[in-house]
Amino acid sequence: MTEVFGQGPGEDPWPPGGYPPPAWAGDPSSSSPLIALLGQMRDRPLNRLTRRLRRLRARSDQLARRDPSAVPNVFAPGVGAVASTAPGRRRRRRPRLRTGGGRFLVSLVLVSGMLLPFYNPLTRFGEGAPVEFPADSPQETLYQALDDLSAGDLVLVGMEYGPTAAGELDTVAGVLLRHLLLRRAIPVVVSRYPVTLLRAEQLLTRLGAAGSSLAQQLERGGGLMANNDWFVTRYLAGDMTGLRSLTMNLEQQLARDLRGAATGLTVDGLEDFERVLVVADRPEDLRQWAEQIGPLADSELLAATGQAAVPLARPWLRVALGGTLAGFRDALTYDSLLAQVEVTTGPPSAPGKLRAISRDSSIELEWDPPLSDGGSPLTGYTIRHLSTLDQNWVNVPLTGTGTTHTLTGLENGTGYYIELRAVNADGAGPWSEGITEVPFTTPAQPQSLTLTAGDAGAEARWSAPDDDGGSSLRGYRLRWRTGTDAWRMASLAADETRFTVTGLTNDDVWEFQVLAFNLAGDGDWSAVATVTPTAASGPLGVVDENLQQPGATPATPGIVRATVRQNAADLTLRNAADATSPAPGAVNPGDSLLVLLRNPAGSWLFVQTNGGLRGWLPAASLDLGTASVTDLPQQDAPAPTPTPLSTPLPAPTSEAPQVGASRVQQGPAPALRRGTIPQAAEREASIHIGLALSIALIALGALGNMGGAVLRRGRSR
Amino acid sequence: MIRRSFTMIAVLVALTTALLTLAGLLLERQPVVLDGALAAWEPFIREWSATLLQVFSVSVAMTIIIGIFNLLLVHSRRSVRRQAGCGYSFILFLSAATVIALTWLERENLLTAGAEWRLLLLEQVQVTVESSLAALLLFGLVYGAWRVMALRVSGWGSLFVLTVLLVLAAALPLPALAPLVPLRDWLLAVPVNAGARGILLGIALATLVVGARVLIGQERSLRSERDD
Repeated sequence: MTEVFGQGPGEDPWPPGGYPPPAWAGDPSSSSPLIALLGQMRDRPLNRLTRRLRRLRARSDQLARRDPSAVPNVFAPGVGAVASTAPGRRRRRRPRLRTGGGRFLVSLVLVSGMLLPFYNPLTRFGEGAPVEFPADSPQETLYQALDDLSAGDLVLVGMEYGPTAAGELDTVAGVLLRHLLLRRAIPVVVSRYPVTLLRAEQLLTRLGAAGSSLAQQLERGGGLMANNDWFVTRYLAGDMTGLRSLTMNLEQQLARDLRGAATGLTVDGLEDFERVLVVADRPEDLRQWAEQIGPLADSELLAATGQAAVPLARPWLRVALGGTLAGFRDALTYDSLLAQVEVTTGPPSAPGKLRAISRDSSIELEWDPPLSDGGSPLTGYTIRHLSTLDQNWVNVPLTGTGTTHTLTGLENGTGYYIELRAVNADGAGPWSEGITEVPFTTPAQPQSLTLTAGDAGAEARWSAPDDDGGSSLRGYRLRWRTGTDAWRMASLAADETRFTVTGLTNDDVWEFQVLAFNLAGDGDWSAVATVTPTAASGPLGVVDENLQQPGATPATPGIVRATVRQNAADLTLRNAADATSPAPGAVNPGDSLLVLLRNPAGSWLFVQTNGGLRGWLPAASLDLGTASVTDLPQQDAPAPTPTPLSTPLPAPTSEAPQVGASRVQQGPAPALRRGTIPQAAEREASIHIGLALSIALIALGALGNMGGAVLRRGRSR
Repeated sequence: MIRRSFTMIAVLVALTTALLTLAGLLLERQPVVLDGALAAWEPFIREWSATLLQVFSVSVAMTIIIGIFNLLLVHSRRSVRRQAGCGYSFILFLSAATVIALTWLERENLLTAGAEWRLLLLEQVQVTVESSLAALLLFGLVYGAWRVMALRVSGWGSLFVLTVLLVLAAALPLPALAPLVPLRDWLLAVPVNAGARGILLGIALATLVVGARVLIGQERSLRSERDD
């Protein structure tokens, strides 16, 4: 029979004078001063412990004395209860039957109450969600931020929640995605949750399905299409590192969709997204987006989250995030706002990446069609180009939806800045990002080929061609032969205009020809010059210092190619020739650039990168090669190129109607909320009843427990 | 000796990776600009930093695949050996195998049914089950709050219950409870916000400390067992 401490006859749970110290504490051989001190103090420190702990200790020691191998389970039910029974007042306590009845009762009441609104409209109580958000509230800010979008604008949407939060956040994400699609903006969904990408795909497929209200509003009979109207990209592995990886390898990360198909998205950086929106249920996810994505995005980070996450996410919602939406109730209000929106057609978005190949007096162009046609089929494109010669825009209208064109009749060696926009029945869309190209052809013949005979050799000298064909010379080829022998050839750099040929046979007539070449290829050979080496000739190799160096200046001053110096002090592109001006981007040492302009002092140069980014750089940061700053047009001349962030010409004369969706001003807000969320009223009422029942149950439990405690205290007295 | 050498190599690799990643981050955000001879290193550092991040992401993705296979292996073994809980293991194994098979069949266009079974399972099974589990939290919380003072009625317990009741009541859209809303807002804006910021500060400081320990090679995982 197991004897329990405190229940044995005459057993005192705490002997007078204190309980003897444990063996280790009283070990005189212990070398530890602390243990020795404890031994001397005869368990006085233990006396300061609470009564319960002392009993627990006594119980453990007693069990250990009986069976040294036994380890007491101090958390086992009954130990505390038994030990707390005072000696002499032993009562037989009935074993408690733990059926979980309380839990069952609570669950039953809550479930029953929350299901009622789905069956009985009378149980719906409380005010419904408001039809509008308060002015300047975070919710209104978010709504306006999305409502200002135009057709074809890209929006990065981070959906960072799992199925556990789907009940609430699917509704929130649903209204936000619906708004984006109504504006004909393009959501690009990314996620670090693999399952959520499937959810996002489901959500978007359902929203834009053929025959859905959204497809009808957008007059898209066949429904919206993945990788055209919306993108769900592949899973971002690596948790927080995945987010950082997204910022560093954005184009690569967005290259494939969820199913591995190519998305065709051409995105250089986060600045290509008009808005960045994150829907997350965990405050940590919001924090990570605020830290990793927010600072790199051009626009303020917008966020949506669940009601439960708001208190912990509040520091980020206020500081690092712009507009915010929280919970089911906000989603209902947002949905009611969307119901007041009227969808209109408008001009298409800007065409995609423009590519060009320079030819002789012409430039071949190719481009990607716009992401959005504005709700109306494309009727054509308009190309405009501007040369550094006459500074006038030339418009070239194109009909049809072809995506190639060749500009002809251009001046070789002249820089052309080219832009493109799409047109539909509602007007012309915004201009694409421009590119600068210089048409060129092969160079002319080198001039003045002169030969100097030597002993078994000859020295050839020539001067640069009059016309480099519009592209800087890359070098020369010199060939020579005697009689009908095969030509022998030497390739020389662009700055070499003389060459000494040795190994020639004396007294033979040797023919020489030279040509210049550039990016377009080889020019024509010069006229044949002859020389007869003799043994009596003088030595070769005298340098003529007055020889003209080819390619010292471009054939036509204007656009110059330059390289960013390795030790450049300032790599930041500016909107104006001023170090404090806003920066649209940066360059890297070694980058090759086109220099389009200089400021009057020549201290700042307006450049365009190979990626199409344009801005001002300090002249000291660039290596212009053989060209000079004075070869460049000045800023005070009519601007040959627009600044990176604006378009220089006035908008098209035909006023384009507003694209996408606009909120209809209908006077006072309607009294009843209208929306598209299924069973919205029932779900809202269910939440209300759940809240009310929770309050009632908690209050009831608290009062019951307090009453019980009072009763127990009275009884014990 | 060999083990120590391997440890040293591992630590060196870890430190180099950490330093390169940090340098890439600093150069990306441009609080640091390399000048002079160091400028030539910038493209190298940027490129390696990006590559290391990619490697990390791919490694994490690989761990998921390995984890799935390991999970299937463990549960298939348990099912075959009829160990405790083998029924659940069998269900898990069967579910995973079914989803993998359905996905493969759908990708190969071998299923002619209109509905995508994989997505149907996601919608009807996984989301439903996970949402239900999350909903159970409500019952747990309410029951916990109901029982919070069952063992002992204390001042802190009463304060906790009062706060919970106040926040819940203010969330109810009833005009009679409107006066509670400012109090609820104050609670969330001041004490709760202060606590949340404290937690965030703690996380930030801990992250800094761990980062510094990694960078100087003092993190426990980088040290050999003997050093511990």
